[in-house]
Amino acid sequence: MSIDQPRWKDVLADRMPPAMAEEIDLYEGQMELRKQRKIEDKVFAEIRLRRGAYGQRYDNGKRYDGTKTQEIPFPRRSLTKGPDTEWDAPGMQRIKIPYGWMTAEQLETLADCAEEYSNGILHITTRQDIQLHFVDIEDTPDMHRRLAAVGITTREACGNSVRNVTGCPKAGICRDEVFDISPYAKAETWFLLGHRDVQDFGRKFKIAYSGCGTEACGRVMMHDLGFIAAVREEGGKEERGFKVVVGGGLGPVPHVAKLLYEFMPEDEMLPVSQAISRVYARLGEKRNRNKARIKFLVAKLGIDEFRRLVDEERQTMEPDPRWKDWLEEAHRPTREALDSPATDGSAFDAPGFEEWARTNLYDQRQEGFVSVTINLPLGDITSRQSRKLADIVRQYTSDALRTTVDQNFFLRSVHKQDVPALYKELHEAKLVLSGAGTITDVTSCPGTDTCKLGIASSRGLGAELREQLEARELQFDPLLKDINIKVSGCPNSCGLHHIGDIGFYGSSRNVGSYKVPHFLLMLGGARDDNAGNYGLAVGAVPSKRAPEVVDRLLDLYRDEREDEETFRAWVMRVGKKVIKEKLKDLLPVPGYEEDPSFYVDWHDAREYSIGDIGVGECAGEVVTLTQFSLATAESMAFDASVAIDDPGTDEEGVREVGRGAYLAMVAAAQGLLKVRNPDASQEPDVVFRQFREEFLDTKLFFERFIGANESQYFVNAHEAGGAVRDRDEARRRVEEAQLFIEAAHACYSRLLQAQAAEAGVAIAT
Amino acid sequence: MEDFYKVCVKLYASEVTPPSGDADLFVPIFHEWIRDGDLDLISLDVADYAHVPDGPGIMLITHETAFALDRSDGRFGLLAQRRTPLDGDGAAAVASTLRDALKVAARLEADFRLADRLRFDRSEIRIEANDRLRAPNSDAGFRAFGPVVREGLQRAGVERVGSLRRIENEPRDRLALEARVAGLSLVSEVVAP
Ligand code: SF4
Repeated sequence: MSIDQPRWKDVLADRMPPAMAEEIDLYEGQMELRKQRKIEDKVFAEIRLRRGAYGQRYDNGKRYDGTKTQEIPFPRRSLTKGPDTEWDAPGMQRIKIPYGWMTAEQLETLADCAEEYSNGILHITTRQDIQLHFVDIEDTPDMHRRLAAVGITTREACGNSVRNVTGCPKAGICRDEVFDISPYAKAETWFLLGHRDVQDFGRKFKIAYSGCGTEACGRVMMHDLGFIAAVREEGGKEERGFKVVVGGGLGPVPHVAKLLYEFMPEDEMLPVSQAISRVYARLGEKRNRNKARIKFLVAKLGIDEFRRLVDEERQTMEPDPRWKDWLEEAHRPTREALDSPATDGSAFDAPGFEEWARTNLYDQRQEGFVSVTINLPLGDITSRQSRKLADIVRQYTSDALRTTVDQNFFLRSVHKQDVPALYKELHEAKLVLSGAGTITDVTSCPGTDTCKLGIASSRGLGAELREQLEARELQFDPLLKDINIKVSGCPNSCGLHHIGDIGFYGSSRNVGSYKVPHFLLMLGGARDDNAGNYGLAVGAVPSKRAPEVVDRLLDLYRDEREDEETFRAWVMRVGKKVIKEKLKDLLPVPGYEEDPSFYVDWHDAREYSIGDIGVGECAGEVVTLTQFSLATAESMAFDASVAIDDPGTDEEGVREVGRGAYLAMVAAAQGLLKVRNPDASQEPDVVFRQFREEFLDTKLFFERFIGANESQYFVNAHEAGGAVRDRDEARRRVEEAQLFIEAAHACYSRLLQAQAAEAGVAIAT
Repeated sequence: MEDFYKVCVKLYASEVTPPSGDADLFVPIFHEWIRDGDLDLISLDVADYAHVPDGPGIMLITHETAFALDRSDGRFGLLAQRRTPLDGDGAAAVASTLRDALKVAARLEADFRLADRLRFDRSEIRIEANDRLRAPNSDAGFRAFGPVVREGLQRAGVERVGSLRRIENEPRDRLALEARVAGLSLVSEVVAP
């Protein structure tokens, strides 16, 4: 007896848009060519990235097991899907969900794909995508076909292209919005998808839409290109348009977007987006990835020159009928709600309703309707839960739900009368976690769980914080519930740590001869004003003490708060220096023998450190000197961060901040020089020259993803003689100094390892 | 064209000894197995989904098969999901996935940290077709998949395969079968740790 062998390609042939079907066939063909080595691996890497097929941790075929790094014996060791990326290694599939909008059928298909090609879990990202992990690349063409058949594309989900266009999940039902941005985000998505003018970018390009300028939902100010809904009176008529901002971004060095146009009429939205894309493609950096985001181009040219270039480009463009043919539809009213309630409103006996309703319901501007947040722990939902949710979507709405940037689902336009029955069904599906958008709704990127760049376990810490805060029911505490916590596994900020009231990003420190997982604590970021205020680093805390640090911060805020002061206002008033002082006792790491749990990351069992590396006494002394310099560098950078945060810092003070941040880098570089020469000079020019010779020319400072950017920050700061032009640049310099110091720590760890390895060889022989 | 290979096998834990605190219990065990190369599989990683209700719990991912301490059908057990193609037909996939599940189950039962806390049922196996195209959750799918499963169980060395019943589940779920078996030996499949 055997099983028939039909193919999705044939079965779905009539259901896929022909263009999508062709693209997927082409991709499948390119996979075959790569297997025959007829396409270079780095070319194939960009091809698959543009289909959303991403790498995942350990895909270089190596894994640290807590004692040593082991080779993973994948069957086809010589076949790669990108430089240093094994073909057989599982990867991550990112799936674009434009402005988070999806239907029940799409959710069901995603659930099936998660089950058949992944591990039965759908993960929602902070940019409203869905991600599946542990996916075999051979499965991706069929997965793409199944998604295409329900109108989902993975095209340009990764790679140097226009990523998922995000938008407020409340668009259309929000009490504060100017107008519904949904049709605009949709038009932008489909206009730019595969457009010839967006194929030659040096890096990724992220676009966001917001219905208002004040709330956080759209996070527009941290995007490469952002649109904020606006209206103006023109000839007695109300005209729709957008305030346009450009050049924002988080990542290691965050930039707040700059104002490009105060008001741009709606019919200019697509041509202006195209013009911006053309300017970016033409003038943006291509060779140095680290300088290739549009924020660097805007910073280099200045916003006025950038605007002039965009205007000039706009004038040269041939009119395209697609610029306007969607506008009529954009003005047509949409209907999301059922004509009448699905139930008679009877109450049901389901526990927890009152608490849930307090935090997870939103009163829409449409009388009689609410929206419901399905709060997902760490953004995860199972395939089975997803199917039940799809049923609920069909039963209580006219078939649409949205993903949110807080990694949740958002169900809109539910008749108030249906809420008890809806709750009962969500309860049965175990989807009634309360505390949506509160302190317990911790945002976390994948971190070391699956991300190749992760330094510490952001999901482990996120889960731990969520559990501990929920146990104390802080989601209902009127004073603390609105504080938000965001965790990233590394400085890249996918967990949005810059905009959390309390943010963390992963780092590591050496304690004796061990490595210890840490998190850099950030305070004072803010979600409001479309994520227009970023926090600054306070200092590194041991990973295992991060929950205690949060507790202490909450206690301090509770005790010291004045009047109606928010957490952020308290941080700003008291100052990070004072706060850091009050956390001081939580920063030291106990010795390994005293408490080895500090040397293992959250929800892991492997020793995080490199173990006892047998450093000799002489090296031990050098260690002390280097660590001393790194600690000095950290405190200099910290002082600079405190000063730049102080609104009272005048022009002279700003100059000092820039200089101080530069000197912090000099101190860190000097620390590294001391590994070989305990008497290394501290004179900046000498330090810079020697550092360049010993660490940059030799590439000792670089390792895979670390060092290239950071060393450039030092070079730039040195070439500028430590000077800065303005406050913005000074703030950036501080961020850069902190990153340079982090890279110095990483480099120092590698030097220790190398010394240990050498010592080992010497002993063996 | 590749043969049908996407199958899942679930061994249920005996109801009387359900372990709790999945992460603390299983994360260290799986990491140790990877470190020590305890399985004759290409072990890749440990994944923690303990925060998701009725989910895969803690997972051990290998190149060949993903193992989940699963609660997705409301019962705790070890779910083995074949990840990558293998030589042979559908029955070979069933046999191989069952063998993998038995190996892991035996190791878990034998682990001192789980002593007297975890034991797997030897009389019931759940087998799922994780391929909605080739083995849909329908009568036709059952007719095609049932004999493949029976043959696969026999090839895996199950002494006696009794009833093979289609589990009545949600139509969008995977096609799922319950096999009543005798002579299912966990320990004989492995070298005890
Ligand atoms: S912040 Fe870092 S660890 Fe987290 S997903 Fe982004 S790159 Fe990976």
